[in-house]
Amino acid sequence: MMKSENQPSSSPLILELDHVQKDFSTEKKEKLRAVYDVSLKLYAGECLAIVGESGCGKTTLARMIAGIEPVTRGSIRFQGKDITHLSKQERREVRQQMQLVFQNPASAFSPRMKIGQFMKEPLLNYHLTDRKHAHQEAVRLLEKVELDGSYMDQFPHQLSGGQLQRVVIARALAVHPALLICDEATSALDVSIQAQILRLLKKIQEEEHIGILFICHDLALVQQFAQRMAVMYLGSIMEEMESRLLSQAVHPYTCALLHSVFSVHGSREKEIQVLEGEPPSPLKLHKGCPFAGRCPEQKPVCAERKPEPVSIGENHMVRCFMERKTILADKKPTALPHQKAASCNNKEYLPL
Amino acid sequence: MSEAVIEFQDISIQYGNQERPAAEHISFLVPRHSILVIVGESGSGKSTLLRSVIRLLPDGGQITEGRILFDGIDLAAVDVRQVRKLCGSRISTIFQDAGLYLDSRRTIGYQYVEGIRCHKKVSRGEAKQMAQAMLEKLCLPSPEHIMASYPFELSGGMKQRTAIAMAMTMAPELLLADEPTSALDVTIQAQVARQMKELREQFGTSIILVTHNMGLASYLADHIAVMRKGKLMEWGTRDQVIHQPRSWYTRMLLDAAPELKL
Repeated sequence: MMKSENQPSSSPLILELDHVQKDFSTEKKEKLRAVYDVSLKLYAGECLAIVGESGCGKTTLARMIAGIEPVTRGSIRFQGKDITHLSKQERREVRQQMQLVFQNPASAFSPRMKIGQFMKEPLLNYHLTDRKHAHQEAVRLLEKVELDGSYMDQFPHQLSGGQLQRVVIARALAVHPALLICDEATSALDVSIQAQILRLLKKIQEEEHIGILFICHDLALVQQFAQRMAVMYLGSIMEEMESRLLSQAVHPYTCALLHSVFSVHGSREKEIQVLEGEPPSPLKLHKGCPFAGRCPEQKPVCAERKPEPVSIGENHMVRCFMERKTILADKKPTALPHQKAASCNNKEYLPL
Repeated sequence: MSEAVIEFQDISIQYGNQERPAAEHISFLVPRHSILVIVGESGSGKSTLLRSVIRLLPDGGQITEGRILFDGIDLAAVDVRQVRKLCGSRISTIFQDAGLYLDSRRTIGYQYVEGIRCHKKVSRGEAKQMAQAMLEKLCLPSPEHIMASYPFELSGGMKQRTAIAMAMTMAPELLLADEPTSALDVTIQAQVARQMKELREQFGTSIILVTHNMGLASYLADHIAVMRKGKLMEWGTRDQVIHQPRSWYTRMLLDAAPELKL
């Protein structure tokens, strides 16, 4: 299970996003705002999850951090250094500290490259070892992800999806990164394989003390794996909190997400509360809260302006106009039936 | 046995020259007005089994043994044309990606009306009314708008719900659903799942649904069948499979499925 005793504040800060924004322009010169005003901090040895539905901008955010997409506004600091705008050479150096794992492992491989060659490539490119020792090092890395040297001579098509994803993780670890960005890294895998990969990532995180940015759409998975989570909706972070305190979520969108998860052992008779409608297009942004159209607790002010992030407890930020009374007392419409009691202990809030 | 809408008797399915059959000696039945969910991991043969009902196996796949009894007809043995006649009227199917089987060059309305007129001798106008009434019945917002839209104008969730409406228009006795919610976002998944559950209450349709999501299975199913590598590991009522799983594999699946802890 999750290790919530991890105290992020005592570990060094490795990644800091400050009011990051990303606008794309479409062919018709319309502005598409994919990410809006995102501020996040990630500490060494910590796992921060970004949760949201498709099109909410979570992948764009990861791509900006990795320097694949330029940032429109705001800044990104990595290990104390501003990496928002970098030259190619500087970017190459930063990349070594920052590795990515994507959803589909098969697309990360060249079909004609043996696993051994694939594993040795970063070691040699970054001059981390010489040719003689590269093989040995690659085998050591494979063993770290619970594979062995016999895979070195195999082609990617001979391995299963879960094995391939482990090879990808091993290769990412080869350059001793400080940050691992996992973009839906387990979403394409079967549940049993998913559990294996997560166990592995957890082990690696503890051994190497690296920070993990874990992008995922599965709340239950995130709760098991990440220490902190940020819930995104239409480019904005709506709520950021420690994942062990998920039951104390206050934002109506987070609550709606919680209701949409089917529980294996839950009661069948329990009516799922369904959020009607769909997220609006990021092309037609209005000035109010992005969630305003679907929010069950909408108020006139929600359509008028965007809510500012408000701290309502330790490591708990929410972006909503809900009044503090609502947050404290009127939890019934949003709380799950069996968590009513637990949900009302948010006493350490700041005045809104 | 009249209480079973469909019964699988010792079904084996083989793909071309593969050594291992995709399904091996599978027998179970689906009681009328109930929902059977087949769960399993990729490659377990769950979709193969579902597709064998309407003989929609990919090239090289064939039923080598056994019978599939639907209203006294052995779907595994009769001529494919006879099975086709049942499709759409008495047995309907929805797939994972509704966008793939809607014609992208025609409006939803055109395809819907055409579909109805295949099965029933009605005028275009009447068919259109039937279609709109069905969309309304399933609580889809603004049926006129949906009918006039092209598939690309609708979101994935809307397409899937429209596809469910199209499948339900002929009030089939059996609805086959192959991973209908897997490609959708969680909140949209919940919308579709609720709709599937309401179908049985509104129309009394029996459903066979294939999914890898244990949570969804637990929410929808009356009976659950667990498959692994072509073998039926367990078949039982929802409560028995979830709370007293007999097979080690079911237990493993249940343990591996992430659960929200609140």
